[in-house]
Amino acid sequence: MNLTNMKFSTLLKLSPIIIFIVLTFAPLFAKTYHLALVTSVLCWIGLAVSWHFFSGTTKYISLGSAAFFGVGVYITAIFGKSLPFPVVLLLAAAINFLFALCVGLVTLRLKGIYFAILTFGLAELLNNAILFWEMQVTGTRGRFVTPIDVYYPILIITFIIILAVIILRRTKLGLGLRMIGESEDAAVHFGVNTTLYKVLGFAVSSMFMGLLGAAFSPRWGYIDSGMAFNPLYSFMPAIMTLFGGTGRIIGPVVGAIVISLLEEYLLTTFKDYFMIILGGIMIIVILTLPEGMTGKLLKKNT
Amino acid sequence: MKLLEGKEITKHFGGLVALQNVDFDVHEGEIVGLIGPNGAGKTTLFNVITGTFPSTSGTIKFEEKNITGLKPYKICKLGIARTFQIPKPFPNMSVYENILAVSIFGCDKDKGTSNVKWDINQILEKFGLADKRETQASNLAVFELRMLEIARALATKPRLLLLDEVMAGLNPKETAQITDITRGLRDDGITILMIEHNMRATMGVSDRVIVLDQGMKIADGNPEKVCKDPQVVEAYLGEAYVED
Repeated sequence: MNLTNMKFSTLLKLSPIIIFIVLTFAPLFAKTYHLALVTSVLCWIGLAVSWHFFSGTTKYISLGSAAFFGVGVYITAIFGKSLPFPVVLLLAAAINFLFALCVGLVTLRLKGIYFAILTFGLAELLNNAILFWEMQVTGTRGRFVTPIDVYYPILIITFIIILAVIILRRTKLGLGLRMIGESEDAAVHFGVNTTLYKVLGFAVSSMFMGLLGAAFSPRWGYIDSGMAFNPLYSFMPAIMTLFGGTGRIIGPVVGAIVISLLEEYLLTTFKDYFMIILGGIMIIVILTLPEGMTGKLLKKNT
Repeated sequence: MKLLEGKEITKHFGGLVALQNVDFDVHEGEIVGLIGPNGAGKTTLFNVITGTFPSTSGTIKFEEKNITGLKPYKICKLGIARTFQIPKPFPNMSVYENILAVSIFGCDKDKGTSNVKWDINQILEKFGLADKRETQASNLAVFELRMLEIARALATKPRLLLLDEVMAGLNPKETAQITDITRGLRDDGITILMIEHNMRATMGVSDRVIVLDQGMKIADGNPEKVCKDPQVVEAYLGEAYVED
């Protein structure tokens, strides 16, 4: 390896730290619109990375991210006024972890499309159950959340998630999940307690999603079950990860940035046709780059 | 000493009887061949031993300990390793990573149960995979994949190794190489139970042969004796082989 190459790779390794520092001071000079945009993008990155940690690695495609995101959103709405914000976040993480443990124990017996359908159904079930409860029992629709600026909470949580995932992928849990994704039969015959690892991985991934939901909630000021459990939160992390490429953490990060920015640009430029154009672009990318955007680039380096 | 002992193993798949009251044992230091026509229940027996699915009835003991109904990952950690008939590597991992991953999970507290203490590089060397170290498993040729299957099983430091048709579809030179390796492993203290279709190789390498037919054990003994057993001839070998 020559000198320029080495400089480049050190730069690449340091880039997350540089980006973090730049983003930390961004509110001093950036416009409100840009900050709001960066907040959304960061939230998508966090969701995509969390999704990738479990579903991208094990190939158990979950379409239930919205369930955990939504539970986080509601926890802030319920406890936000009585408890300090950091405590609410920790509570959301803990509740989502336990909730996902229970869900995982039941659903992870299923494989392939069945797991996807069941997790998708879970998000819809929660959405409709809460809607029913609000209409029949409490007689309200949605809840108010004390609005605060969520830029820093989302920034910090997303970077914590990325860091945690990088570390976790190097632990036994990360290796076990990878072996399950590669060949579950072989994994279980070579000493991996697959049930335990799948449930644990799913719970950790869901915990991150709930944390993001809880942190994002105050941005809206008012939330209802349709917003909290919006199916977009289920589909987008999966699409972003597949778009960016599985295998490495850079995949979901790149996928989330590209798709959320593309969506924003198309939405503001062609507001009536943006979904059609976005769909077209995705079809082209999936057909031409089956390994995702980062797949080809990374292959060249190894 | 009996290393592995199966008593009255029965396995039903719905109405199909895959194994019926099969008794067998494997002694320490033996190479035992498990043969029989297609559908005789050989792989089913492997699956029952390694816990892929539970048997309908019967008990299996390993080192005098009842292991019936244990999950595959526990059986692996006790010291039984297997290969798959259709190799199941971790396709997007390198050869080195395949073996490393298994050596991390496959045996308790690093020590394993066998007398053999090879490290990963020694295993790679032994199986001729040293120069394929960084190759992705999905890019390996058939023979190399088979070698990786055996190498990976050894990374769990087993006492008992179950080989499921590791020679199928290989040329005579490759077959001989695997036969040599099998003998070598036995000399190193690993007991071997192998399913094989290649009759010559099985007869040559096995100390004892167990024959299954339609889920039942029809013969058990030294290869020469089994070869001449009329039931075996009828069920499996065909007359041509006997005259040979």
